[in-house]
Amino acid sequence: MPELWELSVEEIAGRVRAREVTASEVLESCLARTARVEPLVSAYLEIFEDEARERAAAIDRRLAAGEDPGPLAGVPVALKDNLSLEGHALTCASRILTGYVAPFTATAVERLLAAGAVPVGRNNMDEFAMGSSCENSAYQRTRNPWDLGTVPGGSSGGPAAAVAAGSVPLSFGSDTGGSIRQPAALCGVVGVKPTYGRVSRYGLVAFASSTDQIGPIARNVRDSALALEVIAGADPHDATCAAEPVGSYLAAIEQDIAGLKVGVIREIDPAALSPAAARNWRQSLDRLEAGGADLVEVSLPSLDAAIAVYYVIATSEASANLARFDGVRYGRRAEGADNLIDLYFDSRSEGFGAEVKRRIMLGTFALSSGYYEAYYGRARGVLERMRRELATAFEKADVVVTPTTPTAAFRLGEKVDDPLAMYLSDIFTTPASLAGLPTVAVPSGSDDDGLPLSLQIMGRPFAEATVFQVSRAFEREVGWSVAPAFLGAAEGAGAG
Amino acid sequence: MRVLGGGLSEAAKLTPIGVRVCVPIQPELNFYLKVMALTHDDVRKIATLARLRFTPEEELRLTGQLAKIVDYIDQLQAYEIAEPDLGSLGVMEAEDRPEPCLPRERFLANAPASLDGFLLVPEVKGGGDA
Repeated sequence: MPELWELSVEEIAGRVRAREVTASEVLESCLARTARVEPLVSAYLEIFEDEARERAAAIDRRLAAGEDPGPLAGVPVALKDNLSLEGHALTCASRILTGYVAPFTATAVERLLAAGAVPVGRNNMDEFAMGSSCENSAYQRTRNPWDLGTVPGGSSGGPAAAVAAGSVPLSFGSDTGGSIRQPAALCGVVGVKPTYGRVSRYGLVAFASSTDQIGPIARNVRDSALALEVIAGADPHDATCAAEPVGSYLAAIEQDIAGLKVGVIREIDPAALSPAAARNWRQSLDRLEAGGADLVEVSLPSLDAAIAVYYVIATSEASANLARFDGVRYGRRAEGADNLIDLYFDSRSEGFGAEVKRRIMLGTFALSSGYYEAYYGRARGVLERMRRELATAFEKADVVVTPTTPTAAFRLGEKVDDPLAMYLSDIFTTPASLAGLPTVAVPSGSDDDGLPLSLQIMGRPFAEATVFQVSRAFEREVGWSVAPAFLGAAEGAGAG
Repeated sequence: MRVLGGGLSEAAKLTPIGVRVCVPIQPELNFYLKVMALTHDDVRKIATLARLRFTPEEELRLTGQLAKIVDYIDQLQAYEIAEPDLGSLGVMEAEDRPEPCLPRERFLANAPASLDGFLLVPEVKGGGDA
């Protein structure tokens, strides 16, 4: 008999709605699990147990009164610390937002609450979502539950580690260039970056507004599909949020994929992958074929330029978006400045961490007079080229697959002094961000050290249902079940 | 003019939009396409634009790191480009009508300093010597 924290999102909601267990019992199981794993993993910046208990009790009262709290009834969820929940601190893991309290709730979070979910805490992240290892948090290092000496990935490292460690069955992150998919891959869980415009960005702190999307992280594909269904859909508060109907992502998710065309990008060089990742990549293609899919070759000649394009576009947008943090309207204000200009300089210089400053600098450079055409203009041009290449690929293929990352989780500290090396781990995730395509990262096995590897499945705009269907078929072939191993550290006697 | 290789950019712009293959120009030509390395002075100027201050040690380290990143990004000069199609950006048309916004007191609750319903800041004149 599994413990309640081990259940899937669907099982929890199903059993709570059927009144076989209470939301409070589920929450207590997750909180007990969290108390055991959190000292090892450090996935949270804050856990609000009391408030979560009140919410769970309220859900139980509604059930007792004959009401249906919704499709996520009693499901404990964790939120990346760039998603607004009214009345709660929101820091983006940055010192510049010390003391900031969200004055409203993000649309996606409102929808979670309306569906019966129970937020339990704020997850750690790379500062302002800038990073691929969670090491850029101003507050703490989060560790990968599979090997505590390795990074959980980033920037949504906290949300991914929390789900992998069994603290919650579902969490939410944001993905700008891979920030949901890469940590999901490194932590052996499923991560979803929806189509640009599928989920409202209202209440998400902006990093690069042309690619930012909120998405779920869960232990299996069905749970992540259900979660996206809840948060997706039009929102008058976000002009870039699409009116496109959402539909049911679970309706056809179990259909087999016989005859579906899976595009394999010709330019992926297996030599650029770690040996284990290269073996796993070939094996993943075999599994898709075994599942009935037809593999077709597609071409993305600009793949090698993706990182360069992304780091120009994203930092340019970030340099503008982060101009609002100046010590005047909210957040941390530097002491002692006796004029406004110095207040800006001091507050920003003291408040931002090294990577955020680096990216603001790079973006300011790319947009500056004399360099704009050579950097921002050119990046936009290559991006357009890449979009067209992908559009052509999707004329031949229903989905396009790549490895999610070139390697499994790397060691803590390994890339921290080499920003460029860190950026290069985003090679496969950035194209879908730049093109706005729906993409799911699905566990695909593990390397020789038992660290998870992952397959990335991209679809046409708003074809989430197809991407989930292929992801689910692949998951069935892999037979992956998440069992956080806590390698390298004793989890404690009697660990379940 | 520090940006070289303008001729090739022009050539790239003339490429018919229907051509979907993006051909990296041969590596040996990269010499001509190189944008000059980022200098210490550049970094200082950008920092002023970005309203950031660095210690001399930070500035030195940052110059090295940014130079390496910009060097990497310079590979973009070798790729053919397509003109952005603004209709393809997927931006939705939202109805333009006024809506109530955040009440002033809730907004000001996060302000570092306020007075009588306004944000309080130090004197506007002076400063700026980064």
